[in-house]
Amino acid sequence: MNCKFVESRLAAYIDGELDGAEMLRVRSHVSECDSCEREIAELRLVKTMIGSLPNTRPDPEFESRLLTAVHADDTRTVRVNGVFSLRLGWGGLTVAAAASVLAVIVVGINRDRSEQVAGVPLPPISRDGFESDQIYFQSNSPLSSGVTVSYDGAASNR
Amino acid sequence: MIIAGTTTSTGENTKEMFEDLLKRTHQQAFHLALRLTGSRTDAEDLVQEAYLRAFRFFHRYDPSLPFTSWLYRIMTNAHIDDIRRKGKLKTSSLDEPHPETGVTWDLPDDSASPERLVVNSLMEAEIQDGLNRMTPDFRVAVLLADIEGLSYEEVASIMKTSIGTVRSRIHRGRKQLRSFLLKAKPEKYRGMLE
Repeated sequence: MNCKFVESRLAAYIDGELDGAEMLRVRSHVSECDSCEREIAELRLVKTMIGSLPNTRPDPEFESRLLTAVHADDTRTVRVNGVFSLRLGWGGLTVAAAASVLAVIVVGINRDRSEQVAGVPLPPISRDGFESDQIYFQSNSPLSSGVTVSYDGAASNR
Repeated sequence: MIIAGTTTSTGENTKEMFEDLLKRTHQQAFHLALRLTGSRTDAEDLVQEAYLRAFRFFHRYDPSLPFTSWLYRIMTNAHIDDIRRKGKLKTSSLDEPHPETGVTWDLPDDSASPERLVVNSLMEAEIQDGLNRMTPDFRVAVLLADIEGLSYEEVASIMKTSIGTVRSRIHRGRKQLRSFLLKAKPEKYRGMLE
């Protein structure tokens, strides 16, 4: 046990995040090391300072502004049978509709060709004409702001 | 096909559930955002961005887990994204009043009657300035632990990293803040932090 070992565990020691054995080892060292004891006292004070920052509240109107923003965002979302959602501005709706029609036609043509060539029946196609396990869109994530198309492959009721 | 504004009854329920969660959590989210950004305007923008992203992907939220943990993951990622996009940390000059509180770095007159209140406001401005200058990943870890009181395991889950990394970030973040305060106001903090 030395100061370097304790140094890497100081925050966890202060926050009670060490397991019992490590906690005892650090405590034993600190009881004999003025330098580490002082370091702990200072960093504990820093933690207290941060935790003591006043709990500042937003403006009273902030909640209604947030709700308004969410409502506005919701009206820009297009859903197809609760499964597949596109987030588009109104200008994009026309393009989306055209793309949907084109996709259905292409899938239909390919299906006919496959049946003719292989002579093997294909699995049933969903009502929308999409094979849910074969069509992928660029994945979207709440942790990313860049992409606005999502497809989960499972029913969603949002 | 359901387009723009018309939703199923289940969709309405989901929307109501989200709104209820928003009403119950937005004040605490704002407090965390304010400490992350150091500015009320930036905090409001960050909170709004987080809730909008959360709403868009609410169908992926697991109700068995705390909503705030999911929201904070979105919010802290948005915060880091924003910093990277801007390409620099937001800082303020020690010679200028704090942008939010208007408090300067001068020590208050000891004879002034509201000394305690003024000192508290001043320390808040100084600590916030130190937080603003902290390495972003350290700041997120420190605030989740010290403001939200989350365990290292919860912080690791939100930041998508290991507990060891969280331990290191919190330790280094607190040391950065201590160094900043000692450098900015040595006469005031030397007796406390050194």
